[in-house]
Amino acid sequence: MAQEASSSTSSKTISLKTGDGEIFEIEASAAKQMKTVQRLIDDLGDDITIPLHNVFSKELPKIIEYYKKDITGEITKDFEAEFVKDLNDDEVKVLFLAANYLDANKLFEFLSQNIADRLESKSVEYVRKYFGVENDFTPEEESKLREERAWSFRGIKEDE
Amino acid sequence: MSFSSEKKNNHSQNPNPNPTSPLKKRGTRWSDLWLKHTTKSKPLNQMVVAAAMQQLQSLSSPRKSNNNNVNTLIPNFSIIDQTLLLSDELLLKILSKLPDSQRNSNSLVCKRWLNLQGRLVRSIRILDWNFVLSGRLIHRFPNLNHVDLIPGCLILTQSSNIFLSSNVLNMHIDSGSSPNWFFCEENMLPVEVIDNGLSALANACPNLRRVQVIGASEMGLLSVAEECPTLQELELQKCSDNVLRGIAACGNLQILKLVGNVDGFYGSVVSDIGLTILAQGCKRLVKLELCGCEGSFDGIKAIGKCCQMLEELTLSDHRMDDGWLAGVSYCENLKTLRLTSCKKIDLNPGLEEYLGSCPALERLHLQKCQLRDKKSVSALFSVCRAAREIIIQDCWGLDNGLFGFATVCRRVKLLYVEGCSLLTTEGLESVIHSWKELQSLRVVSCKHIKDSEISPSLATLFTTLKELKWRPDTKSLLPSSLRGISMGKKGGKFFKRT
Repeated sequence: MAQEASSSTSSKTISLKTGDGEIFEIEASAAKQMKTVQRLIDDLGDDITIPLHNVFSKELPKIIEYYKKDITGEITKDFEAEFVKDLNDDEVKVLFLAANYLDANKLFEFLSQNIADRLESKSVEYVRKYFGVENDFTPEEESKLREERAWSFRGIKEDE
Repeated sequence: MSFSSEKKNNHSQNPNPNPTSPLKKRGTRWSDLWLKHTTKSKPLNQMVVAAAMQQLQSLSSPRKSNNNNVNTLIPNFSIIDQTLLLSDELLLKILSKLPDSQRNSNSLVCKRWLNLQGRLVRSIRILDWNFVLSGRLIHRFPNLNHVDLIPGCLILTQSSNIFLSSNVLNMHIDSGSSPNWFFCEENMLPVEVIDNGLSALANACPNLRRVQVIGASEMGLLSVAEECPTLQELELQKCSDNVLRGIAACGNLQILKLVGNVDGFYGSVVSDIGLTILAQGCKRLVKLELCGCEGSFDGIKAIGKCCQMLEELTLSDHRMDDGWLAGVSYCENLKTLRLTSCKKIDLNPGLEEYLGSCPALERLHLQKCQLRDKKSVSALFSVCRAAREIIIQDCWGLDNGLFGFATVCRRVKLLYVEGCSLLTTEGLESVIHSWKELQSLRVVSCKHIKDSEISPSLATLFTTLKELKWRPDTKSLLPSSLRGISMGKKGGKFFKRT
């Protein structure tokens, strides 16, 4: 049954059900880009609604939008900039985790770069707040690290 | 069995939030997914993630509308450390995309980040030897490929406020140093200490590719050779024949720089004995640089015959015995011969018929050399007669007569002459006309080459060239390379945050 489906993937749509029970449709060729979905299709066949426990109706449409553009080959820097422009930090994080869950490589790379861009040149406190990380260094440990950084080593640039 | 309780069951079995098939029929699929997403996670992470996911599940089930922000529906979401939902692999992905300048602040976020950030560091320059000996280096940076130990081997005294620099080494000395002009020897760690550090490093970093060290002995190097089979590139300062016995054990070495003598810093002898040991041990050498080394024809011949893959040979400030140049022709695959800062080339190279030539040579590069001697220059061009590119920068004594010897190089395609003040247009022209394959010519800062003296035939030749850079009257304000002083870099290097 899986074999029959693959011969006509170009026009087929797949139904995806989010963790909160909503159903979305995507093109089968877009589904191919999300390896997790593709695996589930291979397991379950493409006529069943594929359940995605860890993706919710807030983020799935965005992901579908991205891959809709991708299959037509229209992803440009402008599109990507527009895509993330209105997303706040939490939304980007949720999308990133969802892209990882779905094993959607292109989106995953793009979002990891975007998170890195958001963190670039920010202070230690900002990064901690962003991820909700607690500082588990004692003051002595922290000052030892700072001392090491100042006196014990340096980085090497590529051309040296 | 309701769908939600089935989910809960699945999650208590598989605490990882990543994909699993709800119909756990085929064992292989499950374990594939499991392995893919959990091999990199720590067990503690999985337990915490399980707790986090349970919390998420219980809070998210009564969801009705999809307008609400994920956060407001799960009020406790923000206090969970969200990076715990990211496995090490994911977090490393983000960290690897951040610029190096951020490494320091990333390391201070928390212990897990310190560990992960440290795992991304591949190259490092050591300033404090205790950092190596105490094991802190290896604890913090387990995945090193390239380590520069040289600054760490030098002792920084309290009042080291004079900066002494040469083209291979920089160090701080204090005003109380005795003026015998071997500053390095006084200010270096003892050999045993350096060897211990090298051993510790080699034991902990078996993937080392490139190491730079000064003042090691053969014991230290043997430990590196044994523990780091992938070592490809090595720089050894204050090297001697004895030390080279340790080098010979590094069978995979491809790039080697040996520094024997540096005026004002240290004196150490690399002679034919060492070169022969080296040749027999490191047969895979591709690039070899000898700075301040002694030796003679025999040593160079041994290298030529044993290191069949040698492509690039650089001699810097050499102290070789006369007659060495003929040994170069034994390097059958040599592509580049470079001589820098040489006070003499070869004052007695021997008879023309015994000189031979390098069959595969493509480039001859002379920089800051004394070229006054007729025999030297003639022999040099003869050995390099197959060269395609000749580059002569800042050399003394190259006049028209000496440059005339270059006509023996018939295959030259590129000539780059800079800072050769004795050369005139006439001398240049007579050589260039004999080079039928010349395509590219660059003449910079040669004050006796005058535009007014360009003959019509030379002008015609210029039109046939693919590339012409004709600036003989430019005075370059700075010599081609002034390393170690950072002048001319517009303050960027001085004030850069590292």
